[in-house]
Amino acid sequence: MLKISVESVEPGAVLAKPIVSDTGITLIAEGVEVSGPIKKRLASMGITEVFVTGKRVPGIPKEEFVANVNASFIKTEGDPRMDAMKRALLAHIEELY
Amino acid sequence: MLDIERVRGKVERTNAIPTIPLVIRKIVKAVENPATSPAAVSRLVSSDPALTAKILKVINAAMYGFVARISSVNQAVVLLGMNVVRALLLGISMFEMMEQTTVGLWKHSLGCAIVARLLAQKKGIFDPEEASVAGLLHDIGKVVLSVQFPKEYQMAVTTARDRSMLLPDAETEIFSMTHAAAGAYFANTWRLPEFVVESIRHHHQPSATKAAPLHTATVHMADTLVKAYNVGFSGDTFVSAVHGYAWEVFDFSEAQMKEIFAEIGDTTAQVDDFFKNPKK
Repeated sequence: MLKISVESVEPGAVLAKPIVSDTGITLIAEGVEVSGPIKKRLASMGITEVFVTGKRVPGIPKEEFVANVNASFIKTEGDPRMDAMKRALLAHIEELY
Repeated sequence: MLDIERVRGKVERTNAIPTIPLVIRKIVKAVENPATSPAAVSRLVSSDPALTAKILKVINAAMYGFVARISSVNQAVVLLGMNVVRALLLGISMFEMMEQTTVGLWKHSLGCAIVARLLAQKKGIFDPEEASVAGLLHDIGKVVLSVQFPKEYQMAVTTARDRSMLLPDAETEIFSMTHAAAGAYFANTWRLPEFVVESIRHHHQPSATKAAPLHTATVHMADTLVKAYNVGFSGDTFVSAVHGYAWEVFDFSEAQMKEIFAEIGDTTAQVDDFFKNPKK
């Protein structure tokens, strides 16, 4: 799930959370595609951000991300718990791409 | 090397910097007076709508993971207390005036605020909102030093990078103190809450505080995780080992750390968006 501005919603994106009014009434249901008309409706309600389904791809290539992590952890190499932290982060990065 | 008393003197006189908006100085002064009512503080803040909007934006981002929970300064004062709001006002205005040169540090601090809150929630050990305030302000000493000694601070950052040093070591060579000490002097001068002062002063050495060990350990752990993930840029190229005491508090397994990194990943994206869309 991602929270993004209505302007940057790509075609085909689907609401991951419903749009609910202050009084708790569902205005647009979860699962609805954020098409042009829906975007207009959101704008008229003054809503600028929505939750949509999907995974965000990090802004940098995987190799660069991994290289950054390796470089950051140089000073703690051999510390078992810091090595575990680094492994956990690298495993997470593996799942991102 | 700069004389320690000279550095301390300049850090403590940061309130004389003209770039701290007048309204902030007025508010901080007003809150020091116990007779000032929360309503009076709200009125002062609200007299500058642009400032109010910025403050509410940052408070919601840092404290509630970008959910707009707080919609007025009055509400912030009621929910968080005057002293915390005062600390936030000061910190936010310091960062705002530095925005151009320290976006990386701002991102790091916001990331740290969010992760500190997450850690406090996970452990259920204390008020998550206090954790975010401490996280947001832990590196305020870097801002203060770079405002008061711009050239020297830049030198500390490049020295650390070029000589593969930890940033606090490079700072000590130049300023005779670290940003943690400088930040604590600053926070003390402005009479920020004790847990804020303590977590600023000891965020590299959480076992050194008796007054706020859990806050400090939380900020220390959050700082490390956020640096590891490269959220923003703290000025430090290297991650330092987490202190033994913080591991006692947060005895995470490797699998739990992986889950936390996934949560940090979602946060990073929001932090990036936050700075990409200044009009939001």
